[in-house]
Amino acid sequence: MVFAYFPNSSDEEDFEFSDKNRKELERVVKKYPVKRSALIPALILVQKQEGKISSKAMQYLASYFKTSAMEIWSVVSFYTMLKTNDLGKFHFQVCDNLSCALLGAGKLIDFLEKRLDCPTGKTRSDKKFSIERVECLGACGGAPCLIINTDYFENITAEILEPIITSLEKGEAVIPRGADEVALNIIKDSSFISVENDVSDNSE
Amino acid sequence: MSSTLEKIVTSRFDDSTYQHIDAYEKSAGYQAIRSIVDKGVTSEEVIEIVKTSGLRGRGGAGFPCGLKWSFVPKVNGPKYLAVNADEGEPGTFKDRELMLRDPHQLIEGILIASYAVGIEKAYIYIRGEYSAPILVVEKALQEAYEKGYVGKNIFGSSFNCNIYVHSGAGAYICGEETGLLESLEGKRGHPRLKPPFPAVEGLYGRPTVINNVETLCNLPHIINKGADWFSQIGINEKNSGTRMYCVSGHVNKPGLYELPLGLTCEEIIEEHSGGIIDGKKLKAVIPGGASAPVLTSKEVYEDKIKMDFDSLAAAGSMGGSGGVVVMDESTCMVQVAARLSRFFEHESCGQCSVCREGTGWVSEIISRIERGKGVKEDISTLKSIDPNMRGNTICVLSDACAMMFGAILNKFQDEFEDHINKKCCPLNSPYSV
Repeated sequence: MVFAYFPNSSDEEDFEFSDKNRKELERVVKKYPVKRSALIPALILVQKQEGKISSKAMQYLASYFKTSAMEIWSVVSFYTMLKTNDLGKFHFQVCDNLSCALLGAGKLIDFLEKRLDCPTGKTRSDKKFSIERVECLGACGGAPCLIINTDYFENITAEILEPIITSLEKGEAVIPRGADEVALNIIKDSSFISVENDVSDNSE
Repeated sequence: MSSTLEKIVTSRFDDSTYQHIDAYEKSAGYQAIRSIVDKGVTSEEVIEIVKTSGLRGRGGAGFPCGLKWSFVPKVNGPKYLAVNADEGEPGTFKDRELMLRDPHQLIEGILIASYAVGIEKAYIYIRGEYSAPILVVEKALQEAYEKGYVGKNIFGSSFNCNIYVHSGAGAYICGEETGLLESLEGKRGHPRLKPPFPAVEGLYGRPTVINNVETLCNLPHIINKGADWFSQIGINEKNSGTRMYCVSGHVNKPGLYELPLGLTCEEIIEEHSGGIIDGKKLKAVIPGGASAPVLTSKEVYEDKIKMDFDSLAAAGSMGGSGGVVVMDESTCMVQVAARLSRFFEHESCGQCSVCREGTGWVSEIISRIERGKGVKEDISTLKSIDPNMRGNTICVLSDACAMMFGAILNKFQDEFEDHINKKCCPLNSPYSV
């Protein structure tokens, strides 16, 4: 349990969906007999567009869903993946739950903090990297594992991570490692995307 | 009973082309739903087949699937299916692979369940971290819609069923049935008081069935091959079929093993998962995800506990979600208890004070013992908290936390005492909590 306060809105810009995302939200809303069900998908869309969920965006959604900003905030603050702070262009979610911890997640986090020059739970000042310790990611057969933005990397060691991080620093594409590999063709070719792999592009 | 290691839900796992509808159809795909629709099999008959098969829920509670469906009242108006793909129980990773490798099997399972219960709308609630499975299932759904297997007048009949993907946003408690429904309604994932049960009053106040991904994936096979075939696999008619054991931790070959119910824990570790790393000895095994009480080496190798629902329940543990976490002799059980308590503390939704405060204090006390700051009274304090955290809350997250630390404390109390007496972690385990 973490106590969280409604983010300060004084220096924020007004929020507006891009045309593409507004259309996407209209498509999503139609899936449900009750509009409110589209709130979490809408929040995910906001985060994809802006990199985080600002208080102005919550106010925007409050009027869209005909409720209060506080009600939206109550939902945002409940879910681990919904963020009100700036993340790095590359956000590392490192699992340190039991299976990963048994196989060296602790050492992996130590390595990452040094290599990325960024403490866990923080975003580096140039907003290039951020690290977060997270609960079980559901890839324990490939422990230790982590997620960079939306991609899974399984059976990870410092030696394996080093070239991946170097590629990220150079702006080169990296490919997921582990079970996600079987979906590479679909991730790449997917023409209709409701979960876009572009958090990184927007958080700069 | 059959002793062959027949694969059911993972039978297509070796070939990634099964993500596509053409390959799936060539491998008897969509034949099960097509046959029941074409023959006009009644919903009662489908429910009866599933009841006879003995299929029990693969998500955690192990509730008989057909019985669950039969609780849905025959009323007019919408009914819903919520597919629980919010896999979050530490140690569990089967639903992710089922969706990645064979998404059409899940879609066909959803259609069969919907047909049986008279449902026209199904939502697949996939945890938000699973970006790739979300894409794969959406792509598969698009293919199925294009062929007319999902949507209106399926196979030219009066059966309609729309299926939608809904992404979660990171909350373990949304894997609890009613927490999932709240989340699907766009709210905080606070579990609901029961009764009313979701079968009567679920999503949007309407009758709702909630099934796990693996449970649904078994359905096409049961329809194709018959209830008797399914009930012959496994140890007895109440523990029939296979389970996807998710083996992780200190084993040589961690991974997914689909095996008939009723194998021993020893067989799963030694024969299928390649034994313990570096030839070390086993200390403990979590047999069914973090909530399942831990088994000791003696229970595994001497008592030869079997890994079906009822054998594990008789041994004071549970089959849970099939997450098998193996820990070798170097593992510090106080650290394990501290880490898992922290997990439950983080994931407590905060509605019930017993859980909100209980998980927090348990985590605090066990972490303190691990750091060498524990006092003798901590053990009796923990033992007095345990029963108070059971049966007193809206959902069973609090009970799960108590089952977890209660079992570790009872079976490894000497390690807790050792920490307190020596004022440090005597095992100096390689990881920190």
